[in-house]
Amino acid sequence: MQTKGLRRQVGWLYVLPALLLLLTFLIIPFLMSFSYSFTDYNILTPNVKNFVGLQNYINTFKDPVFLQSLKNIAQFIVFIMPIQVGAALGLALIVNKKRPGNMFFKISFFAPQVVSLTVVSILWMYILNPDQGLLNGILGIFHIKPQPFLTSPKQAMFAIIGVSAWQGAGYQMLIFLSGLQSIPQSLYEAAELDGANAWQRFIHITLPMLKPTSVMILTTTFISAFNLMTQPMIMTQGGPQNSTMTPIYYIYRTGFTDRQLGYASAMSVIYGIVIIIFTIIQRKITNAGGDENE
Amino acid sequence: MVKIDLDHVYKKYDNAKNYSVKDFNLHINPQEFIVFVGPSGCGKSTTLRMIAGLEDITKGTFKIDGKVMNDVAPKNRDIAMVFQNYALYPHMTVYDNMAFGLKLNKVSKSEIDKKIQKASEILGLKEYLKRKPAALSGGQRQRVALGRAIVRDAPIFLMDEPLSNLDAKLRVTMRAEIAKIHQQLKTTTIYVTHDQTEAMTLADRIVVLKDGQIQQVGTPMEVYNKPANVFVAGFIGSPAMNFFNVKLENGLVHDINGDFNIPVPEGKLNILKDKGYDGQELIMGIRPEDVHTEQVFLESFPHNVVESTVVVSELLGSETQLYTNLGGTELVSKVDARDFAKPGAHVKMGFEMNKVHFFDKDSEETLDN
Repeated sequence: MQTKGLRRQVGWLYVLPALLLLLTFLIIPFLMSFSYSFTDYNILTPNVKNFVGLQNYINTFKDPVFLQSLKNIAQFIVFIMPIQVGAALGLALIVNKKRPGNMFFKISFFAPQVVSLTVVSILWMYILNPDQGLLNGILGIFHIKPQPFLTSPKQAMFAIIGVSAWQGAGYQMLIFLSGLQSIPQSLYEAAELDGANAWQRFIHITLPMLKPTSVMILTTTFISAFNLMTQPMIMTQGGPQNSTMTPIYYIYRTGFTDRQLGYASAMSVIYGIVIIIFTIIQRKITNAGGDENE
Repeated sequence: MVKIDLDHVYKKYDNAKNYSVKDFNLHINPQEFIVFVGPSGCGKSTTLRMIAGLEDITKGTFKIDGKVMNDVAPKNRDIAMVFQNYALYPHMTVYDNMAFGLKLNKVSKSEIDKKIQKASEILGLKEYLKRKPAALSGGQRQRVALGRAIVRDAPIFLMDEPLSNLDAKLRVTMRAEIAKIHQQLKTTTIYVTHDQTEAMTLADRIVVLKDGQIQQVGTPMEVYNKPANVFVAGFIGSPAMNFFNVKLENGLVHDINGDFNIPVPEGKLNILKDKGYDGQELIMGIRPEDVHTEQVFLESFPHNVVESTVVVSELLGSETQLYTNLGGTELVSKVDARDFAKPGAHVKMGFEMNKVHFFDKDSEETLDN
């Protein structure tokens, strides 16, 4: 019995470092912000914290910017998922074929991943610049009128979606590529002898065999999409007309620019709940039909 | 039921220096069961894959029923293949695995169902149709792979070492099963294996390959009894044939060290003399079962007796395999179970000289006929 107790203590010792980090940077801050969400905490007057009950939560639902930001992030997710994941799969299929210069393409497609999001955003601001930008220059060659991109409420979010997909697809391409390369060649040969053409082999062999990889990629894309902030912060500051305002960015601004930490905390709690709900739904969907033994 | 012709077929891989398959000539009759056998790297799988269309043919022509098929896509060759690792589609049930090819070829649902029911009955797969490959044992997967080939009703079956992933007992069972299926369906079959027992038991004709070249084509009896060269003689038969470097002098063969001196039977002697091998060195081969320890034999052929030292003695129940040393050369014999001997013992053994094979020392080609 004693050794068992000792072993348990040793076990705790092993997880202690990780536990300490989790406590300091995750659990304690979460509990703190949860408690702040019921106060009028302002960082300028850190000693004055009045309990306001559910007032912050009630205000949240009346705040048009917060509601707009939820709509924006929904739009972002709906478009980024197919575009980024589709692009990643497409690129992986391109570089999966053995052909000369393959390494160059692999590195090129992956390169945006290495650059920090801030740099990527600034770079694309130049490319998307309505007057001197590269993209409008290219469009001009095809006699297409210059587009406003980041300065149009209709186009700004799509510009950000494009930039995000461009930046994120390279990494996912690598994951898809490893998924593709783990598919045994003999399956393709068997399908070929069974009479499948290239498209049928893709539909009946490649896609189903990539399912575990796809689920993983879809899940990580989905979760990270909720955290969108850097791109709008640098490229549009949430504008024009809050059309690129995202919840995380708005929470950050409310808390640290407008200094209303109590209100920002309430929004974080609500947004946290939203993310949890959607993650559960998403897992339900991707796991459906995937629970049989592979 | 179709015939297959391979004329002067060569294969060289892109980055390879040498040909993997050299001047391959074979004419396969309808309904025939052909086995390609040889050590790994001999080109047997490569040849099979060229027939399937999974590899390009570098040179030569490959015909099915007289039509040149060199550049026809695999899906248009109407060939069913069983892969070494089965290559079952892991995300499909057993039923769907078998139905896949039929669906692609737009066979009606009821027709597919009929074929699968029939094939699964032949193979004993009825209860497993709804399972996925991961939930099957090795033997069952093997059956599904066979079933997938059977339902296609293709005129040609190719099998690439289909039994090599099974345990010894199951291999014997499945071997018989494959033989049975071939008797029922009579599909022209090409079967690749490195196991000479499979080749002997299954084949109508065996093609023995080495280094990308055909060594001999013949019925199992032919390759066993009349091996074309030292390689075939050593490869077919288990345990392998014993070989001695001997010299023919005065109607006797004696090995270089003088450990034995045995008269050659008249018929064989005349053939060797006619070919000018009198006084020459040659290779003598004798199968383990043609080495005798029975007293009757030793007394009847006193001149054929040699004395060798036992190294290992393996009692297999019905027989004993004696691994002995005869003048520095290993001599394996299959003898009566009672003639089990301890290592180090000196044993008298008689060579059944009517059954020995002679080969040229340099070309290693047979001198028997």
